[in-house]
Amino acid sequence: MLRYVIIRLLLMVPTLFIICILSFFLYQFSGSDSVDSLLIVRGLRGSDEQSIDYRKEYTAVSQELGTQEALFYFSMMPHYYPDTLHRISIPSDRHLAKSLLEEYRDWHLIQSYMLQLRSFSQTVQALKLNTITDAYSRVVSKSSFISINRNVEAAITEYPKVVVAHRNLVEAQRRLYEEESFSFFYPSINFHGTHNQFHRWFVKLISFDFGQSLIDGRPITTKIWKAMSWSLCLGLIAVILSTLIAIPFGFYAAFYHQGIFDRFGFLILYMIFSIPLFWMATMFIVFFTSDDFGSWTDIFPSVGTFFTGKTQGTLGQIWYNIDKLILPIFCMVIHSLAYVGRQMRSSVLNEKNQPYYKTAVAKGISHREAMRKHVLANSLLPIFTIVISRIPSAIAGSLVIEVLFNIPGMGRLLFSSIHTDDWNTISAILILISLVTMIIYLIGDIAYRKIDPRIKYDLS
Amino acid sequence: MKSAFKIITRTKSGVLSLCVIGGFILMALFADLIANDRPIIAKSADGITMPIFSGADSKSYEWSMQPIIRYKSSSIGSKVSPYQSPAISDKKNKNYHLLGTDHIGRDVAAGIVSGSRWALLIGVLSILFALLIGITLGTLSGYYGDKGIRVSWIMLAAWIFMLVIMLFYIRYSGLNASTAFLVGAIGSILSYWALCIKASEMLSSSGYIKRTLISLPMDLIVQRLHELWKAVPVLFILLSILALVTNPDVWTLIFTIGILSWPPISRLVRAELLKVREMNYIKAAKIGGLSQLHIICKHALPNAIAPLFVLVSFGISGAIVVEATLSFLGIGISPDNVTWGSLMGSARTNYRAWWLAVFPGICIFLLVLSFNTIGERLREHYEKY
Repeated sequence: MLRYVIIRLLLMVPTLFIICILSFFLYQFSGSDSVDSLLIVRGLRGSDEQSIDYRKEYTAVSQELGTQEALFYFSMMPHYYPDTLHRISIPSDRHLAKSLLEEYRDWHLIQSYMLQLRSFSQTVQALKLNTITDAYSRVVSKSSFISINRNVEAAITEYPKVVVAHRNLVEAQRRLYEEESFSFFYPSINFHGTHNQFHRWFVKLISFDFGQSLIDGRPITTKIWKAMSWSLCLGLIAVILSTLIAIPFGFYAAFYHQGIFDRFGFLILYMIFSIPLFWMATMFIVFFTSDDFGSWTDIFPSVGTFFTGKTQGTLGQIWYNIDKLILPIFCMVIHSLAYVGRQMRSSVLNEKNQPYYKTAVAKGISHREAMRKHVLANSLLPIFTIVISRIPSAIAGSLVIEVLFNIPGMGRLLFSSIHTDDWNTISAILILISLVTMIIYLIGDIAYRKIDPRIKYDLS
Repeated sequence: MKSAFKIITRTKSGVLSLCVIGGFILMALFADLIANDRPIIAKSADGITMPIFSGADSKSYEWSMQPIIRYKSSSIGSKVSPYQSPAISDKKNKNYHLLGTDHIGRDVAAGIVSGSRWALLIGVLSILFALLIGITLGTLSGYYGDKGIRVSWIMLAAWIFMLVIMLFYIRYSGLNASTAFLVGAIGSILSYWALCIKASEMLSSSGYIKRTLISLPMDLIVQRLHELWKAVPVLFILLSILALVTNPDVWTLIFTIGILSWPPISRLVRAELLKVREMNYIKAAKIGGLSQLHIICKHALPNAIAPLFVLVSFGISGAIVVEATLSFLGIGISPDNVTWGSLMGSARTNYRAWWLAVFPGICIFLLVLSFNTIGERLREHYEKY
């Protein structure tokens, strides 16, 4: 048994690692700028992206977050790319450097041009002529250089300092476009060692430090654990309640197979099975939370926000808000009941066809006795797996319920993070929810092997 | 296919669900004729015309035949009236909406007609895409297993090397991504393949490197993929992917739902092929010298595929529900396209507008119920054997 658990845990590691890599790159390719978001959170974001103060703040924060480092352990780039391109932290500068590289390919000349551009823009900003430098921040081709130069020269004739800086800039431009460039290129692989963003992120991840939320600057770990405990509690309550109802339901229906209860009860369950969860919840909200359709329809309290103030702990808060949680839990229970109940019925019917039941009846035990003593225990075995596999889907499936009823769980957190582009939180949610799912499946498998001795310890 | 049809039509509920699905398909096909703001046939000064197709609407006809629903799903009524409740009685009113209007005054009935198109399109196409992936991977893992595919390791290394180089040049060649992919990738895969074979042959014939064969553990790889897919909740992944894509259209939705729903199909194909490949007729075909592809396509798969119909019908209903859920949450295809889910989503801003929740919901329920019933009938049949 111990060997089985250890091997299963080891098999989890590569899967989790792949999920980590995928969510890291999901976060990277989303194009959200974590430094910029953090500047907004701290109230340091100025309106002018070219100003010296903004650049200073940006560089400081990006050093703090490590976004100046390379993305992964190695990278593959065309040979004319410098291996230090990632050290340019400001996105507009990095973009300009890349476009210049595509156009001219000589990194030394490009570097000197960008230095000249920087010193030119500093001189200009000292004189409060900001609009002039913006023109240069996206331009790379020879013809547009010349046309902008003409406009700028006309605007700065009365400032001798700027004229000198601009002359240097034009000289650097000229050197750039007079250089011959070849169109052929070959790949070169650069190794960055452990000083890369993925390594930094992953080491933090192992100690459950997911960094800060890009929206409110709060640590993600506390945000997620709070949401996770809500989702887990609600999911567990829904699964346990629905199982407790479904098992006697299914057993009774199969006990009197083809009886009235079996026929009509399970026709209704079959129909509920086809109702999407979000439609069911919407219908309950529309018809049973107000007295628009008669005085008796005002059964459930209307959807609102939760009081999260005084009481401590998730369970305490759930108990405190239980009147508002009745309807969401009710929807989840009914949805789950339709599935588990049908499975229980077919499981009992399946066991009833087994030879041991016929033997028991032939020996003279009554139908009731045989069903209770022999069939019930055996038919519960497949239900166990189904119930365990319901827990992860209850946590995930409650996304719609959480969004509809404003429950502060995982689904709602993911939904609001997506709406606010908080990719730091999204990747953390994906990793944690898959970790929890895998652990629940593992616990289920171990318990199943404890219950049913016939199961062999095969690992495939 | 024919036998599946026979199994379904054996029961009343099966026939009924086929009728419901057929009705929705007809509704989707003729959506523009059922709900349109222009008359189908009209006689004006120019003679008899069909304004529905020509696009010109002169408004002065001698006589005209109007569509059943006199609004387009996208058009806002002549007098903007959001949340107008359904009116059965006053047909004389110019601003008459059979099933009411939504939050910006679009007709709900017209929205339901056009929504059937989206639901069926996304449901069917995404499952077709999932079938493509699922059958391929299921065959690789089930028929070949861990030891079935054997390649020389030089060949494998050359192939991976060439793939990386190719991706590199596509990334940095400055071409538009889709053009580069179509022109470059597909053409070069073939030539690279030939190059790889040549290179590996030359290396191994020179005698410096031994030509050892290694087996590709396809079964192991596919099983790990299943595990990966099982670990992450579908809806969470879907939401993240759709948030990543800047302008998700219908095809993004179809591909993502397809990519997320292949594992059950592949698992079933694998299990069936594990049984089939031990059969005597497969061995006979192998001895007879038939090619692997021929055996798989003509002998192995046709015998493994019948139970797939169960998964396909349940899969379609699942995909329809997922699509509706996404549009309900406001993250699916763009809000200009009216779907059943987006109609219900507009009920969230005003829970008094009960008609927005009821009518599209009944449509989803009927369609999903029919697909589920068909799946159930087929499952009952195949489980007997």
